[in-house]
Amino acid sequence: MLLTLFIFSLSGEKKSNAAIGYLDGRLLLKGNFETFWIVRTYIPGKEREWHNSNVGLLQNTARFETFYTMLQKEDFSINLQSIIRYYYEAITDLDREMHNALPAGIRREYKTPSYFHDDPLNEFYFDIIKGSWNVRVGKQLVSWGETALRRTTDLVNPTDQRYSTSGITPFEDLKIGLWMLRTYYQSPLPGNLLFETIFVPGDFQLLRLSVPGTNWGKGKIGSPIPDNRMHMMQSTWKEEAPRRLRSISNYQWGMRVRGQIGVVDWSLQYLDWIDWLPMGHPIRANQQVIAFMTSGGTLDHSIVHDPWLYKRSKHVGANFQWFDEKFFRGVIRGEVAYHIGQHFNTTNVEGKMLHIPAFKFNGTVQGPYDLDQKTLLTGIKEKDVFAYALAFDRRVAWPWLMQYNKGRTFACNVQIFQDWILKHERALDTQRGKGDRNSTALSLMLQFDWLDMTVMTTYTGYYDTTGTGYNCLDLFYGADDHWRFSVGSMFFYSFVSWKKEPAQFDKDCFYFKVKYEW
Amino acid sequence: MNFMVKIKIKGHSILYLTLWVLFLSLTVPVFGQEPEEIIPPCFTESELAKVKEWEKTWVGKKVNSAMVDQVKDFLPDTLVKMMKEPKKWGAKDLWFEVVPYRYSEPSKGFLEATKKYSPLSKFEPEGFKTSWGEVAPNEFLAGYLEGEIAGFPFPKPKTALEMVWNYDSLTQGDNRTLAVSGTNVNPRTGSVRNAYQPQTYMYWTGRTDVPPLLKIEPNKKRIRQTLFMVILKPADNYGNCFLDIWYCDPRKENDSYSWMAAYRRIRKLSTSQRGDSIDGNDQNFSDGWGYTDQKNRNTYKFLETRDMLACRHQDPTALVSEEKAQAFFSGQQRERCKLHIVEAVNKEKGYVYSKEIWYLDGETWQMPYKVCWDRQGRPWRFFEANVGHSKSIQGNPVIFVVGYTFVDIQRIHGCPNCFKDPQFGMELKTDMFTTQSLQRSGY
Repeated sequence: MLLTLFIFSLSGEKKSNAAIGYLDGRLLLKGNFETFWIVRTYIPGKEREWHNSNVGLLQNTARFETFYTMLQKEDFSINLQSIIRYYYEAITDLDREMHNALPAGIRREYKTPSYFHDDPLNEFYFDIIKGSWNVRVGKQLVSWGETALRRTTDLVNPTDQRYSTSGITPFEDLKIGLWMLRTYYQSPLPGNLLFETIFVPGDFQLLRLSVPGTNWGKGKIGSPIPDNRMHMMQSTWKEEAPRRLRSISNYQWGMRVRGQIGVVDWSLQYLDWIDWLPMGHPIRANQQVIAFMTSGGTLDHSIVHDPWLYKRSKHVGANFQWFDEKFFRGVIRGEVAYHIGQHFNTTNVEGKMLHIPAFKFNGTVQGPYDLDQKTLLTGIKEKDVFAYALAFDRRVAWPWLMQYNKGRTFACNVQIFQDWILKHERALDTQRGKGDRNSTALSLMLQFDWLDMTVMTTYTGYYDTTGTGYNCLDLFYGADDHWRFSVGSMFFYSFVSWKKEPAQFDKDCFYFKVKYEW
Repeated sequence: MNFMVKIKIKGHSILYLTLWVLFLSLTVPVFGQEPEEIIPPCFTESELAKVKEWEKTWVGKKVNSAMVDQVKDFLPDTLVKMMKEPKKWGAKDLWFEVVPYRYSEPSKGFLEATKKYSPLSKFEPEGFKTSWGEVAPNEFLAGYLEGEIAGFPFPKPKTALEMVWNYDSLTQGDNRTLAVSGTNVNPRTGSVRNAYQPQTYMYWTGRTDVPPLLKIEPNKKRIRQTLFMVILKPADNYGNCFLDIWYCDPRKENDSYSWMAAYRRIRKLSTSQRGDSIDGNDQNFSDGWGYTDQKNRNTYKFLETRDMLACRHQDPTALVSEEKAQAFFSGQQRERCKLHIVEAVNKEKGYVYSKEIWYLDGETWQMPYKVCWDRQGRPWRFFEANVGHSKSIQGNPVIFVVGYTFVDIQRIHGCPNCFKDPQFGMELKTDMFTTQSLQRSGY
């Protein structure tokens, strides 16, 4: 923040664009400040005692972007691009009940970026261009997909879902940067073939799920045991996550070729990746959970070695988009993915008696146990998964509306997402409907703009055929060069009782965003 | 001298006299008259004399809101009405300067191409169907599809369609870069939003000044023109890039791609809704520079030719917005000229304009004015292009639009734009206009 104010105080060059230029325009600076509030419409009884107000989130973010042209000579150039994003989540300090709901360490990690070299520096890379070659070295975000709201082929960067969700915030603002080497080669081959490779030497990042006790999380830490288990799992996942840059076995890589056939822009990709979330070891994970129960729900570290296993999987994918002139008169986009050997835990669905060997906890030997709970893990299986997503984008002319809105059409986007677990087994532990080998989701987005695009209204509806979904209505106002205001609502629903328990069902909310762009 | 010798001498004299008369009858026109201009000036000699007489009174005068009635016959009605109500448009006063008429000539290369190809100009005898309607027989310029024609195809047009093809033909230096510095102004609320967009254009066919002349090869897709644009303002669109590709074939819709910095993706854009206005502006996707779409999308009807005041040698620095929320420039330098007025009606059913009136300059074949009517038959948008001249890096004169303004007459809103740092005639590589170039220009 101080650095931003310092930059402001400098005279800088005359701004003909939105960035401040120095060093004869070789250094460009821009950024924004944003405050993001979430106010819940309803807090269920079991959570009520841990809230002084309905404000679920109050996040203030400063984003600082720099673009520095280090060298430019004919067809050779070197640029440095960086985006620093620092945030402070204030409600866990202002709301004393929420403050007390979170242990100090968790609260610290949640309030601000954890490590300076990690979260605040979201992107930082050198961009080297020489003729047909382009090499980018550093921390980057990669977008390999075509659709929004759900990712089928866009699987390079994990996301941080602690503060927002894809219905409110686009994925690119949720993604976590990875340190990587990325190369492009524009070939002279027919179809304008562009070859791209990425290599991540060891920077592994967990998918950051919502923290129990916070706005998008379940319940509170210390509340009834089922809610607290997520906290235990997230804490121990972090302990066991592959350590950054310490092991060459943590490498991840991928390649993509992009081209054009006729009117279709297409790409093919291959990823060799470490899954963002681990699998539970069938014995050690069960021991960990039993220890958690024994502790009365307060355990937050691993008591056995490696209860969670980080598995590598492979993925082949394709993307395409084209503008259909004749029939649809709009753009069709799609993603197709084949996950080779995706890992799933299996659970004790038949309620058989399982033997859990003895283990040490708190200086004493626990067990052995013979248990028949259905939630116990029984193994890890590899299954191939086929998935696709289709999106239809069209601007629609509605004469009645256009008459009063300067002839403006509105944007309509319809998407369908499906996947199938091949050779499915009932015992697989999945987030979809119980025993379902297939998941299907649909989304509809309508966007209208008014008053010469100073006002935009966006409706997003998402429905998963397991019987859950949400409706999100957003109103955006931006009348001048700097200030941006958003007001929105997000309402979740579920038609099935077993889906009413997980975190999001009772998270109906209004949200407000105020942003200053400079 | 005997009689026979006298007759002989007399006979030779008659022969010489006859030959001399014949010689004079052939040569006097050459020596006594000016050679015919390839692009004829808009005024004949006698008309020019009258114009010069008129100019004695008016040249150098600043015509403002109080005086505009005195020259209203030389301006579109819409413009006169706007000038009489400056406060409505966010100005204390709206004014322009009357400057003397000057003949406008394009580059030597363009003139030579006109001279070479215009005698061969004709229309395709067969029509064809497209997704938006039909191109009738004798509507489509022969050789255009293959890129075998350059210069003005009809320097002395007889029909509205021929005039419109002339309008399409000026390639403005073949390759050019400029930066659009625009404002989106609501004079009623005082809100002003600024835009700044460096743009690079390249013509692939119809080239007259920068090698390769006539057309770039290979051009299997039959590209007519490409545009690469970067948005540097407003801030939330900073870094977004656009690639537009126009094709010679009316059966093919334009291709449009964007690199959205926020999404890190190259997105194909729908170009079906040509009538949709662009990002809060008062122009739609067909309105750029006056009209950038396929010419055969409209039917045309010639209305009249009129003496009018229009910008033809505009100094871009003279265009001013004296108030912060002024929706229309002052400072235009208008000269008296002849404009051909053409009515254009889009063939697509339900198109956002029920009709357009184009004012075409018979020398530059640019469009200094345009008025668009909405579907309810009311005047809706007014467009002015401030045509000027520049020089390419080769030193060739370039007829060029130095600024333009779109105005919404109904909702009282305007977008005055001017072009900064224009350059013409540089060498450009075709691989600049690829999707990879979009990716490189972004994050």
